[in-house]
Amino acid sequence: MQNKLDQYRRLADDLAANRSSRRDFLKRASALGLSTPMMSALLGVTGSALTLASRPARADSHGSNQIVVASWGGGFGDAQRAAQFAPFTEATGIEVVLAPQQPEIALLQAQVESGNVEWDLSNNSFVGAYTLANKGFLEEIDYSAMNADIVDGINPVVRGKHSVGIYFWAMNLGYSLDYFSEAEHPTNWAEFWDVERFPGPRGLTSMDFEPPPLEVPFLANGVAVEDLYPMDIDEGFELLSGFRDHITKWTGYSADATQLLVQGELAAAPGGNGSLTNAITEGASVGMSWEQGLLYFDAWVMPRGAPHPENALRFIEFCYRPDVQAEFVRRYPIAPVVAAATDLLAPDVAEVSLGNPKHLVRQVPPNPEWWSALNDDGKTNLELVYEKWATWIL
Amino acid sequence: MIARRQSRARTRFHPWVRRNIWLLLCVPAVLFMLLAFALPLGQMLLRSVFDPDPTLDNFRALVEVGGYGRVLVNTFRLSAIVTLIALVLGYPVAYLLAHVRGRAAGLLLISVVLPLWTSELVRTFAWMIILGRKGPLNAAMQSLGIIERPLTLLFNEPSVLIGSVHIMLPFMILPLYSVMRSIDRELVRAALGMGATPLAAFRHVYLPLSMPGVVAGCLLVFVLATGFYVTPAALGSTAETMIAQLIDTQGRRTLNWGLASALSVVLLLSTTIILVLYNRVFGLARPIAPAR
Repeated sequence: MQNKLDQYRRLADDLAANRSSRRDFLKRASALGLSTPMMSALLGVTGSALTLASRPARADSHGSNQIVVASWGGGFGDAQRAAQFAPFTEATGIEVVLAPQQPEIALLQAQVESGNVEWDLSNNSFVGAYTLANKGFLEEIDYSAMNADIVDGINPVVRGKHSVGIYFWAMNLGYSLDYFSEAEHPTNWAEFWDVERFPGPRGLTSMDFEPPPLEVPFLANGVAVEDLYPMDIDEGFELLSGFRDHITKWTGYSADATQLLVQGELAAAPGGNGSLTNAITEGASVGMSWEQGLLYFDAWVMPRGAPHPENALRFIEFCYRPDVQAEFVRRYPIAPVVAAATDLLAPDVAEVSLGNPKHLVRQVPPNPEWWSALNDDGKTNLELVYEKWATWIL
Repeated sequence: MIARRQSRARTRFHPWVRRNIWLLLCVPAVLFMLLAFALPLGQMLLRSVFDPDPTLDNFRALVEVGGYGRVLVNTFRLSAIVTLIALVLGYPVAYLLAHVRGRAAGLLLISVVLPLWTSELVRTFAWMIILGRKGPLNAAMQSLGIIERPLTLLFNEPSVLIGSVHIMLPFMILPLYSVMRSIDRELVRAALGMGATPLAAFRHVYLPLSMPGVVAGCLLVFVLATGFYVTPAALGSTAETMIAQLIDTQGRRTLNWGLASALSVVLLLSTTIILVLYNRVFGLARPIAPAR
């Protein structure tokens, strides 16, 4: 990639210095994979050859040098901009435009149904990604159009037909040191449920989160990890009903819970491993247990009818370069889906990274198949949980 | 010749049209409202009964599930309390605003309007910090020895009310202020001169004259409060759920846009009924600004 870029630059310099004849240019340009219309365009503007060095070499066939990406904000968004968006633009000249909306699956569905698709890629949880795929709202990922070495490096677990997982993250049990000590604190979901032994206000991610942590009530009530699926949704909510009075706050996105633990509003709550680790690193009076974390992954999905599919595939390819994955994990302590990336991390980063095998084995593995399975009425289990939640909270 | 042509041009339109030609000035605003408000609103109304075939299932679901009624009542109850508190707090501020002169008046007005420049979300989060267990309020009470351990002040009805009233205050104060400014203070002075006590002068002269502001302010705050989403979601628990949160869940999570529309229709209709009753009692149709 870098090598090719250097060749473009040299070609541009030559053009600027009039060292390259038109014929010679065409030959060298086609060797670099430039399309004929692109070359004509270049030859028409040899005067602006300098811009060639910084502008993209191969535009999307839809004629635009950008992609529109829907993703999350906060510390995660900052890490993503620094590790993925900016380097990609630098390497290819393709501008990454962050969509003003959050990557809600309803928004993606609305775009596809109205035929007015603005996003090229959306960063969705695996349950959202597989649900959208089952409902036919996504383009297939054309792995053959990407560098085979890069594709082979991606963990097969996250390589879906319509989605590619970008990173693993986990919903881990966080606790406030205002209520507990590092010696005596809840370590698993059963202890999280045990308000007599570990008194203090609880928070729980609401079940309209993506993904909803329906596993928690089962694990808290003694169901073994290997017997977890298939989950009986009604039973899960019944277990929740028994615990409802102890829940001070149903939290939203994972950073919410961490913030409330930091402020001492909650004594224990599940939070994203990234935001919990960051809070601990910053010296906040919180702790986290690696035990029984719910392992999740987020994935890139391409809405059906995305305006810049070729640019989007190039971006996906770029995200799975081991160095790009490693840079992302350096900035946000989640787990890479490319094994080679872990090797690039410094020992202190690797220690708190979810990708550390000693942490990873203690997590509850994700089950995209169960969450996205279609029931008789054409609804996925994810949708059934959302529906149940909408009336359960009344 | 020219004069005759002019007169013919003038008679080409019916006198009514000529008299009301200024109504054309409303056309851009009406067009905008039709496209940006009436059309989507109509679509929403239709979606609640066509999904895509004609159906009343969405409304049946609302009745059968129960719970929705409780949230609706809760929404109006909280909105009414917010309106009352905002009125009690806002009235004296508006009075002060209308009666101070010079630089202080400008400063006061700016301090009322300034919070509107900050997003509702930011102001709500500020309350999360202020009311937090490690927040300034708990810290102050602890250092004064009023409490020993920090109190949980968040995620209950008072915290929702505090946050909501704070956000709603400018919408109460501004209509009150605009009406109070146009009240002729000589009338109060006349009442005092004729022997009324200050309280009687206020009750029988000033208060009635300021009523249009009270009516307008309460209406504005109540209607805005029924659509509250961010503040009850952040500062409340599930017991303070308001209907906008349910509409959000149905629209964004369950993707049940028919049900979300039905909920919106119920909110729209019940708000309309309340406004009609309000109009009966207080008479919105009366001129807002009293004659001098």
